[in-house]
Amino acid sequence: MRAFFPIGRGLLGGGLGYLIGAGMIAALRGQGLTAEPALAVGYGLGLIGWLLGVGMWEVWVREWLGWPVHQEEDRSWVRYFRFTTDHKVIGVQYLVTFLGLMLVAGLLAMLMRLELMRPGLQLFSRNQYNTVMSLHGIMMIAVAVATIVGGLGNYLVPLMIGARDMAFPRLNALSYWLVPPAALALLSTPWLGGFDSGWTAYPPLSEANASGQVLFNLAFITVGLSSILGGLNFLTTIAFLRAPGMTWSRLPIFVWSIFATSILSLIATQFVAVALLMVLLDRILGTGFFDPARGGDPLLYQHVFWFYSHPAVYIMIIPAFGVILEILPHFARKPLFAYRWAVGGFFGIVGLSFLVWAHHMFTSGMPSWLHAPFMATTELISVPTGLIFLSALGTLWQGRLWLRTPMLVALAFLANFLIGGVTGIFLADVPTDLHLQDTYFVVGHFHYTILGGMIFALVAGLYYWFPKISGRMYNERLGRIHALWFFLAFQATFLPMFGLGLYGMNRRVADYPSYLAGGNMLVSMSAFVLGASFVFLIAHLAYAWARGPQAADNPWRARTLEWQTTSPPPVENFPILPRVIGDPYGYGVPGSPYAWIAVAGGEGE
Amino acid sequence: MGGMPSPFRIGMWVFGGLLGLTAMEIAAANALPRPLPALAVLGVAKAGLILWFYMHLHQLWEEEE
Amino acid sequence: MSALREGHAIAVPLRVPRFGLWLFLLSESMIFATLLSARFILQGTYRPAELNQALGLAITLILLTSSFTANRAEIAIAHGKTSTFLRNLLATIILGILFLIGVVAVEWPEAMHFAPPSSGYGTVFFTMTGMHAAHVFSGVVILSLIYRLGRRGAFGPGRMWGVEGAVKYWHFVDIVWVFFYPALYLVR
Ligand SMILES: [Cu+2]
Repeated sequence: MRAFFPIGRGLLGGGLGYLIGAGMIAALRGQGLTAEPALAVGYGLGLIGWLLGVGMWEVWVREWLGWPVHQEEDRSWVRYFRFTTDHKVIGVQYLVTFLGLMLVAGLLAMLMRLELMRPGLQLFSRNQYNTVMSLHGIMMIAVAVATIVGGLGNYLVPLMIGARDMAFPRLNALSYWLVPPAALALLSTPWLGGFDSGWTAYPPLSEANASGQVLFNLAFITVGLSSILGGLNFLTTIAFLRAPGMTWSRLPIFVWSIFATSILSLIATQFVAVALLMVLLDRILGTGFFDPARGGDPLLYQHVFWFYSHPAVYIMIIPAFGVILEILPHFARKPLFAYRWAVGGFFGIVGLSFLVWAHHMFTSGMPSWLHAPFMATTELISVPTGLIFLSALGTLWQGRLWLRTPMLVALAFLANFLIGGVTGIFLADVPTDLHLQDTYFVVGHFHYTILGGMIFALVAGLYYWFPKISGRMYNERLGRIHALWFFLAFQATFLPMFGLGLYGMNRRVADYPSYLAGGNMLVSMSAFVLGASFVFLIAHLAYAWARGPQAADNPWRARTLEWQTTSPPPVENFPILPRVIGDPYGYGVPGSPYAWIAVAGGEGE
Repeated sequence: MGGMPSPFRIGMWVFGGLLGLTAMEIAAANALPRPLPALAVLGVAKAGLILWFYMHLHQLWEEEE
Repeated sequence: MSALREGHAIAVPLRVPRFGLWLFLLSESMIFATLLSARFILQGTYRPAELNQALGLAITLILLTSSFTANRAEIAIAHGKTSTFLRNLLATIILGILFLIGVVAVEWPEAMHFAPPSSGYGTVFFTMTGMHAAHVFSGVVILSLIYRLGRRGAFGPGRMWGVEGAVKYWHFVDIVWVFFYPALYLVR
């Protein structure tokens, strides 16, 4: 029971904080404890109380007062429930939390498909449907933003660059522990009337709907803060904590992808935070940012929102490409093709992603002279993206493919992303977008890039690094069955959506004309099969972690540093820091060592 | 050690510069019909002084002292 | 590096936390850049004639002076002059509190009459000054913690990252006001 002591203390602190903050405001204004101003102030103090209780007080804040800090170096499973600063623990915390959130959000998707199985309303009222849709959206956005970066990134970046930990371990723990209160806030929105404005929360709807919207905005801002602090930490870590000899041109491609992503999350996330804050101020203090009657402009929200949220799709997809490009050379047994061009592609995307935001607004009524420039910049992004894609294809070309599960999922990623990318062109083109906007064509497109792209990459990465993280091996046969199942169910679910969209099915609506019934039945049935594949994946990995056979230190015979230590790695990662002397992907290149590592006598490959 | 060490003196000159630029801002705001460009330039100058002399931006690309 | 995990920042080269702080400030500046843009997008260069120019100038000078004293405090501790350090740090804190009083207790009640938050100019005025004042407040809290530690002799030449970081943050808050003051009080 002692294991849950910090979390219990955090909950207590959070509850107290909420009661104090909300109680104060409620008393001042003579309203209830869940009136919107009380909600906002209570959430703020509650968040602080939660953080202090869960461990910030004893691990960190005491130092600011000149008092000694206490940190337990518990090596048992208990450390996963504490304000632990080991990046490997934090990585696993992120992975487990966000995989859990993914299952919950997936369950919401199943409910939506149940409603959409037949025309008419069966399960939900229209408002309930929209709350379910909005919750599914925002939770999956959080999963897409944080699971690879926070989970795999935290676990692997210090290992891959030969460091002992991140640059700011306590900040790292803080980034993680900001997540649970946000998740709790989102999941409690249904009790405050839900929020029916989608994950984009456009005003005027988001300023006129139920109070659940306030919690949504606060939760989004909290996750954003976590993402900003994470980005700051990664940039500093990669800039300064690389092992001797780990020059920038010897950096594994996954580390590059996290570096590029971190620039985006550091700089862009503030914009969405401000946009959401403005909505809160409009609701709570009666300011008029987005209300034309009070001197505001609702389109301003969309501009600020997408100034973050377009780069955010690259926060999701660049690390995904990093995972895939990381996996391909190890399983094609040949060097990564056009390494420098792929890195250049990452940074090309980072730069361009700030110049394309208004392609989400072609039908919003913004000035029409803005259409052509944003169409052009958006299509320009296919150039750096194409570089990365060609790097993947070039790595496969004439390789001796070793088709284990991670590789199978990685190949599926390439197929999916091709479809996702090509369908994106029709949405970037103004003439076609005017017709496709707000239809299921859009839903199909972004699920091909986010689920077909980012989540497939996550699954590939989970299989690939599972032996390193858990020290156990998953079952190869079950893995291959799952890879095929996952891929086919995904296609059957989302490919028909393009057709449904072309025939006029609107997104974010609980109902549709009856002539679309056939396609929707197919989509729903496939979606249930797809949902089951996720349950299968989690069950398989959980079983393998508990009962699987012991994994070798380097089951893939890979060259990168994380495989040159034990599985799982010791607290300090490497007994003696490795010295890097060559190319991480020099497979099949004669006389091409990568690193000298002083473990148990001798060097690594 | 004749008087103050020089970093103190630099700090004083920079402060004087900031006050002078603020005076110019006020003058620009009152004299010019559209003061925005002038105010932007003066603001950047003030921020530059603070960044360079008070926040030691140059430390970022200098070796550890 | 295990020293780092135990919370002693001494073993880490200074450029690591320094770089992290600069990144943080870069990220923060995006908040203020958005608010500044919103001010011009929504209100153009409109400014109500009733704004208290004397007060605006006074709080601006207060904040600039506080950066000056903060700078002196930092130099003093780098030279081991603890009492000069403490004196200047205390002056900085007091000037910061004066600034807060000027904004929140004097300027806001006045502005409520001619530009309430529900008006167009009030929307940007209260949001920008409020966001900035929140940062000034956090700066005052941080500097006060540093002052408390400084009195216990926690800082000296070569072990002053806490002072350097807090002072850099304070200057950053000052830079924000360098842009907000003309945008709110001087443009036409
Ligand atoms: Cu976009």
